[in-house]
Amino acid sequence: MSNSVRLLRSFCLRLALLLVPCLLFAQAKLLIPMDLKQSDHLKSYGIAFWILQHHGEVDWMLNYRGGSFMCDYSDLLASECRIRGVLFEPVSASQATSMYAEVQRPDNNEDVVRLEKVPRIAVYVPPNFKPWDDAVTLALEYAEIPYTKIWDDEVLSGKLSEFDWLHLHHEDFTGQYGKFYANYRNAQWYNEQQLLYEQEAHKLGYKKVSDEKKAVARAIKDYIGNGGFMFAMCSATDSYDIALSAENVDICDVMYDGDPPDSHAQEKLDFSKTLAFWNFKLERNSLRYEYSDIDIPPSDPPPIRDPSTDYFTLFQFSAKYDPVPTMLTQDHVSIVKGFMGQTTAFKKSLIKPTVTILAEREGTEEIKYIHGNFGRGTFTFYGGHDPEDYQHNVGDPPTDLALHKNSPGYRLILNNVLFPAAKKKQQKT
Amino acid sequence: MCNPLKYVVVPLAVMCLLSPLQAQDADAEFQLRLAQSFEQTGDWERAAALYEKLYGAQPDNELYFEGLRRANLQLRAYEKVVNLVELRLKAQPGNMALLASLGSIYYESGSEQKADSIWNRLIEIDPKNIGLYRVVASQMMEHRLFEQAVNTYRAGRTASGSENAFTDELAGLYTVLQQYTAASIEFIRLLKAYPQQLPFIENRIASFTIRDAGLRAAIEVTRDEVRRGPENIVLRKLDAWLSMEGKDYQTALEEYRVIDRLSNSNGAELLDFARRASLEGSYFIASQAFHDIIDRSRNLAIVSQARFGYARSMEDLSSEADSSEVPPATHASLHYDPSPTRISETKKSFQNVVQLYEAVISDYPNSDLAAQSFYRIGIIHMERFFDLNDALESFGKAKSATRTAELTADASMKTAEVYVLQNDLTSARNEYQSLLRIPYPTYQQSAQFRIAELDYFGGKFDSTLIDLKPLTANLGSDLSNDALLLQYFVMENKESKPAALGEYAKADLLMRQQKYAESLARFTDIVKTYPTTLLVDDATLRIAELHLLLNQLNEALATFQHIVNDMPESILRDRAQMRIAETFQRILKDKDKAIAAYEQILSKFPNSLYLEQARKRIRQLRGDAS
Repeated sequence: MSNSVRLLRSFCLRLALLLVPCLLFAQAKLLIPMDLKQSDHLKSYGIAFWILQHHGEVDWMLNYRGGSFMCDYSDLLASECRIRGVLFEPVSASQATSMYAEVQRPDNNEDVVRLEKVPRIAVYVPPNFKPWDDAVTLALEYAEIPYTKIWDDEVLSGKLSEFDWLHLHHEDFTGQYGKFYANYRNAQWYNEQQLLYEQEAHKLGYKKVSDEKKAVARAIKDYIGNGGFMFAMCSATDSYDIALSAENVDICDVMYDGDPPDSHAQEKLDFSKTLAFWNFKLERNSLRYEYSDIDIPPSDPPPIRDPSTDYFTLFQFSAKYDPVPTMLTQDHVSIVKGFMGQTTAFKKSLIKPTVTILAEREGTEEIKYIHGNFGRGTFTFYGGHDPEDYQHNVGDPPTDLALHKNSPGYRLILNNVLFPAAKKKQQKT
Repeated sequence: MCNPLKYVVVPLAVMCLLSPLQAQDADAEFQLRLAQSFEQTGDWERAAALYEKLYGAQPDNELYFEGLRRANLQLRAYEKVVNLVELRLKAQPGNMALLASLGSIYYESGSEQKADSIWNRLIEIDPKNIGLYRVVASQMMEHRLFEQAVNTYRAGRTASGSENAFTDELAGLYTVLQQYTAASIEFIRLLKAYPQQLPFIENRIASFTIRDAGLRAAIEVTRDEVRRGPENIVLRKLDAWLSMEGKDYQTALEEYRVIDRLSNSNGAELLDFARRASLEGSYFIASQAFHDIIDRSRNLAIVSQARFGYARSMEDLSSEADSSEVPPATHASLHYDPSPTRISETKKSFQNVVQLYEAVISDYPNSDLAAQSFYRIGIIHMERFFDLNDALESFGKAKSATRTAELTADASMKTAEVYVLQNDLTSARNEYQSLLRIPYPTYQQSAQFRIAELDYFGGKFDSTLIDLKPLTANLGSDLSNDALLLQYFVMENKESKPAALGEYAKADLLMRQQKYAESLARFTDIVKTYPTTLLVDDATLRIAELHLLLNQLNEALATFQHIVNDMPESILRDRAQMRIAETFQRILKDKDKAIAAYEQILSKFPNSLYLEQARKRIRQLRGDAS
């Protein structure tokens, strides 16, 4: 073989080696913008989940056009987006390259987080639960994100380790059945619920529901400590921490557990055991629809507030240095409509300093959305019951999310659902 | 002589003697209020101390005793409370409620056996006294000892010798315990004792019949009872009600047949049932019930109602059979639905229905039932047989026979529609104008719109716009959308090419009159003659729809496709694409092609009004409808 032939062959080989990565990179992309242009923000999360389910990867472009999603283009994906009503933009390889470059520019508060794992989702709900009574299940159902329902049995038998993400339904971990006694003690649903809870507690070897719920709260705390992601809304937030703090003290009145509470219950609370709150005062009136002074404004009497002026503000975080809170606050607006619940918001002075505040009602003590770490896992608490039903009451009809496709409040819930799918990155700080 | 000073001194002395006592009372009252306020703030220790002091000074005072008992219970000072209550019981040995509460205190303190023995002791004082069982059971229920409360009530029932004792209480307890069979047994016991309480008991049972297990249990128990007491009407009514709750109208009908016979109601009970079944869409069962009445009742008023009801339910049944074959809804027109009147295979059954109505007319002449029968016959002639003259005659007779303004107006509306179908537009206009004078806004608005349409068909476009004005101004009207569409269509085309619009209106009239072939020819001419007018896409869409109505599916699909592909400026492209998809889905039953056609809507027309519908249908066809 002549030298010239050898040289030509070598040149061709080098050229091929040079071109292959370029060809690979030339894959067209599909951008799901999450700014005000998006036709259905909530189903967009479902599409991201769907891609992960189909062994694809999604890049979450933090702070880029409202926290957009970028992934490889395919006709199948484009068709699925159309069918679900999700707006997308086909992006050429070169456009994608410049988008990535822009997002990763050091002076830009944007970043890319790769989502590559399908989060295994569990929702903690009692067996008689109706999906429309819980904003998270409503959001998951609407976004078509599959989830598994679990309850006390599964939690206490260690099944939590099979899941990446746990949502706590509108639950009362203090064992006071939501403190609905004053208004609903004669209602069939209330009695059935109490009986169901009592039977479950007895089946699991506990004399009192409150003791069993505390055990569940501890098991969930262990799950977080071992790397789980816990998300709670409404009364599941404060009642959870109250249950943890009351591990060794009876705080339930006679109508809830058959005997009066410890008269020194308040002094016996152990705040070192809680995740988010401390120094709170228990509500000792068993007929009052409130657990403690964490909730602000208190639910009993129901607060009178003008929904048209009730908004909360999302905090801005550094995408490159604080990717987790940035992920959790991705939204197409920074000021979000307020909404009430049994626990509407959290009193700022009662939040532990280690907890990150994600959203607040500006100029007040009301903190709407918080996040924190415990052990190897994290927890997020979001106050209020239903982001699109200002004052949701027992027996109210379910919210039809098809009418709230662009709900900023619901987006915050779904940020949490995708967050466990993120590839863990080395923290820059 | 009497000393006048004594009138001053004596009262003063009495006052001086009483003042320390009054001061004492005021102090006690103050302490009581203080104790109560401590209670409210949850400071039980200070409340207990104050109550203790007050009770020590006045052990007979019920308020102090209760306060002390309450505070010590909250402090879990059970021994103190037991002593307190036992002391009180020595003074009031007959206070059964107090003795029962002692059991509760023991239960709260964790001495469950002691609680039981106290409660048993209480009952043993007078085992025949059923009030004692109630006192004990209510204490048990306070502690959610439902099973024990059930046992207590049952023991009370045995002791009383009355099998109806505590039925209400037991029924409620079994419901809470979700023991539906036992609950149903108690409710039936209650029903047998108080038959007039049926609606109340149905209401109570309804709290658990919403669950399958609850409904099954209630039905099983009720039917057992019915077997034991087949003559009991109220039990059979409960069974029928439960059957209807479970949508088992056949069983309910069987029950009502028996109820009707047992109560000698001569068809009245069956008539009520038949009407309910008909309202709930169970036409076959309704027809059977009406038929039974006709066969058996001797009450002429009831039989007449049943005969009309029977005819009506047979008509509904025939319509149901017919609608299952009807092709997809065709919204070919901008402003009306030209769904075809078809002589279907069910013609025979409709002929039978007409005979049934005719028999009602012949047997009950000059009655409102006769008038309604004429009206229904008119509808069948018009919508099912397309016998327009017969329809006209029937509506006329309905108008003459009825005494109700609504039926007169309904018949007039239909008469006018028939005139339009017969191309007698003058008579149609007269009929509609007569409706403008009646004091019912719904009929007035409908008539107003139809008059506007008549002007449109006749090429009087300025009049059309004037006619439509009141309707387009009244956005609350059901017809405002239709009116706006027609107004927009006329306004858009009347200036640019009035001749084309005139031709179009004539072709539209032919379509309304179901002269499909003629209409198709005219629309085809319009497209050829006026290829550049604004309405050419509307005309093409009509052509496609007419091909569908004439069952020329290939031509229809090709024409719809022509709109999609070759009329880039048309606002009807998405609608045409939707019709292609619907044709594949519903007529050709080709699922894959239907999905592909719906997907075209999503990809080609991202702002279409049909997007949501297309998405929904794709998901239905894929089997993952959410």
